[in-house]
Amino acid sequence: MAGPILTVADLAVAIAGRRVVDGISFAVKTGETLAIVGESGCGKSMTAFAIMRLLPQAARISGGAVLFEGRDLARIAESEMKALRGNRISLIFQEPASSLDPLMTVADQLIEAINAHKPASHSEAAAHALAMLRAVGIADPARRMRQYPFELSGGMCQRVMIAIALACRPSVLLADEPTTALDVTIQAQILELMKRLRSETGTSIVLITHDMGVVADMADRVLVMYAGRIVEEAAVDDLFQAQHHPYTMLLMRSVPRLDAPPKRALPVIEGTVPSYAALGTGCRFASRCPFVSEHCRAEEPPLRQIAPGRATACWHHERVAAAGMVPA
Amino acid sequence: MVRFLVSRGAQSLISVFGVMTIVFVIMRLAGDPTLLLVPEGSTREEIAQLRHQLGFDRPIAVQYGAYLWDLFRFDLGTSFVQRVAVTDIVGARVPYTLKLAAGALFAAVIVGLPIGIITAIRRGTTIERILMPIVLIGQSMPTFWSGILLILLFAVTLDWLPSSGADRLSSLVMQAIALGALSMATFARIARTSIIDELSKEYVRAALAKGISRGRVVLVHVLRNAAIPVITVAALEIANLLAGAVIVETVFAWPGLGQLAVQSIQGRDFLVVQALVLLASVTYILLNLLADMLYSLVDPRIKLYRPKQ
Repeated sequence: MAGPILTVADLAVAIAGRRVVDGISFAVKTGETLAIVGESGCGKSMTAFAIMRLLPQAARISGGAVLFEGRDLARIAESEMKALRGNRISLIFQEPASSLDPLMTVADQLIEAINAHKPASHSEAAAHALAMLRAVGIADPARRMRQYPFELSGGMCQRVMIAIALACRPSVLLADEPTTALDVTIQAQILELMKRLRSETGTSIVLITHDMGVVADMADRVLVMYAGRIVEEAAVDDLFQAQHHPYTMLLMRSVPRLDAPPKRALPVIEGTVPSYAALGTGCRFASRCPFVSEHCRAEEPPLRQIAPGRATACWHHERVAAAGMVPA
Repeated sequence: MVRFLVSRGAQSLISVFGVMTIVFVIMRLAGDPTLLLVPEGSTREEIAQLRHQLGFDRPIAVQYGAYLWDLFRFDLGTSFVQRVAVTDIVGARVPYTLKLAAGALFAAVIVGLPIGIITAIRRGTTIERILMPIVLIGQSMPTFWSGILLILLFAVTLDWLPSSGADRLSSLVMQAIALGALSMATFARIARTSIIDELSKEYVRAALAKGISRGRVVLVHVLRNAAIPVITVAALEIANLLAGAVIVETVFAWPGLGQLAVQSIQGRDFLVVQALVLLASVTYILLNLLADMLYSLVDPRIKLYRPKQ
């Protein structure tokens, strides 16, 4: 694979003075799928919105850089950013049905995206839109073009969103929980579609999810986020083999397993994510961590490289990895 | 679409029928209608004779049937006070009130909607802090008071506009402003709330993610989605304008339906009052029907919706 197409360096997002994304760094290579996992509120969606500069009104980028095609997206003018959105970097959302304008036909919404960057005559744009719908596997696309979002199923809406996102052939696609709102069979179809389009177009994907199954299916590399920070980074196979952060380990154990004894309670991670107001000096996971020590409460562990392409933010990562080998 | 219109039209007809019945019942609940019609100091014989002449001595079901039949033929009876057909009395006043309501609606929309839009998309800015008090004033000033203040300023002090009458277009200006102020505030508030609500929806962020400008997102996506509550309120506001006309027409001596209502109540012109109540109710129902038809133009989900069989 070639060098990174998108580099996020020490990015921070603040809401009312509190850092909900606190100094995260990562790089996405061309054609790669990078998964960002973590539970609700860990800052993974905020990271995507920050890259697109589409943060909610109360939030703002408070530090760091987003390097893309030689520019820092955190600093360029809004007009420059507008020219990139949907064109070089696209974003798809968790709720496909509410991400489409309910009062506009599928065709008009697609054509709007095409015309935003590649102005064409109406018939050319319509032909392009039709081709995009066909590419995302929508049956009878000519009829679907004339329909409104409420006439489409959730899976079909997500296909339309993907068609809109990829209409201008972006080099990076940010997918924020693209399958969470869909049922399992549709989920699998959408993931297949994304894989196929990635191999056809070479688009890099940043996949934001809390679903380890989706991660295993899609990702090349994984970032695990907890309370606004990256706690572990690894290639996907390495991560599933051994976890070097207790949060990742517990996250894996809370995935239901087919070979687990029936009627046994699903393991859960005790406690809740600390509120951003209550963050102290130590490790953010300390209050929920079975490996916690005095050192953890006193000093926050930095994200350190422990092997090529592998990093963790845990003082006791060796103990954690060893414990992970023993079946729970 | 046709099915939608037919079903909504049928519903409206039922509502009109209900209003007619309620008016009939209230009229009877108020006691013997004859007593409302006779001049003071009439003898028992005169009352009985009039009662017979008007048919109020017939069984109530027969009276109800006759009442509906008359309404069906647009026969609202003859005013006992003025000895003129009620339809002529009311009909002569309708154009004035229509003119006044149209003027007030125009003023309310061209001021209220832009204020609503601007204060929604420029939240927390100086322009919002300048415009919101205008909405507050429109909302809170009673019409009889703002009307008199307008007369004091523009008619008495500045002598720019006539204080009363209906003979020139200029005489409409103050009346329309006084009557439209409350509606202006309502339009501004509803538009603002509705737009703020739409702006927080996911499709706005998704539209921005396509790389189109914020202005285009508001113009093309947000305003249309925000229009439905505004249309609903507009229909009700027009009806409220007719109610507000009672005060404004009295303050400005404007010869419309509101003034007629006040005069008829004071003059115990019972049938005219009844006709005005019916007219107001039917107007209300028709405006709601119109609003429903407009929704279906704005929102495809309404006209295409088919209830599951």
